[in-house]
Amino acid sequence: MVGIVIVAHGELASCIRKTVNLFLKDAECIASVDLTESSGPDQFARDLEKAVREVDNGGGVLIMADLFGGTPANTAWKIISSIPNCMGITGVNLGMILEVLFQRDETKTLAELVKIAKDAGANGIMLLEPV
Amino acid sequence: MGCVYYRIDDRLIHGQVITAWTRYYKLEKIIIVDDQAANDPIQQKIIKAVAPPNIAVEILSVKDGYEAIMNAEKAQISTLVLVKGPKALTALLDMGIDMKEVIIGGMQFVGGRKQVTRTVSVTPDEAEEFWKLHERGVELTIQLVPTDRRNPLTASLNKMFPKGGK
Repeated sequence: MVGIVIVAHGELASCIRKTVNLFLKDAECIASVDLTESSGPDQFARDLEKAVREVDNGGGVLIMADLFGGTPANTAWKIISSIPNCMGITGVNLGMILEVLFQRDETKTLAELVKIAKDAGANGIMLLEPV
Repeated sequence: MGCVYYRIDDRLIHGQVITAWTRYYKLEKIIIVDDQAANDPIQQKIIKAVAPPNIAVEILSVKDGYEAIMNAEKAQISTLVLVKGPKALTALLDMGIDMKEVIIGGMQFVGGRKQVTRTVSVTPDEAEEFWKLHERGVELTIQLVPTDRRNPLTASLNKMFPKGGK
């Protein structure tokens, strides 16, 4: 099963993690790493590496970050480029992560889940025009 | 006729922060002066991928950084020199670079550092480097983005690391 790590600025990552519990209690192999104001790339990188190791049970790891170009995503990108079987995506939102968790099982590969994440993240953006 | 600006931010190029400064200074070039980054090909690729579009980015050692800065000044190219801490700036000053002001965005709270403001933490050595820069006439200002209030570093530094003592 693919492991998931959520990374974002402030407390967004842990908040998303907690909110996921409303939909899916006891989801396994999922962690979050926050980037606080006083923190920085070095400590964050260490925390993220630790989280990746913790959620990896052989099926690879998907890191889901908030902003492209932000420190959480940049740090993730470096790790993704340095270890095997690890991929990443930015623009994490609740719809994206829930879809990944709903579809995640022993048969889905990391590459398949990344595609599911990208589609779900984008498809969840709908204009609400007055009916 | 300064077209070269100096900034300390150990997150280097990140998100909206660098976009804000790019617009404010009308930047054409960013020179990262950092020996570690200059030897890290993966980090270099990532930095270039997230840099604002149409900006030239160079990631150089201190020695090569000096050359690049002199060239930018000569060619009057609006340039941001980005470093992780005061040590690189002292080295550039020693090599003859003329530096009027440094904006400090962030120095992470890690390994032997004491927190001086919300986003800036320093070791005693770094504090001393800052005091020396101050004595050499370099204005030290804490500011994350151009619309933020400017805070003189020395005022905050004085509380944790008073001038003259460690």
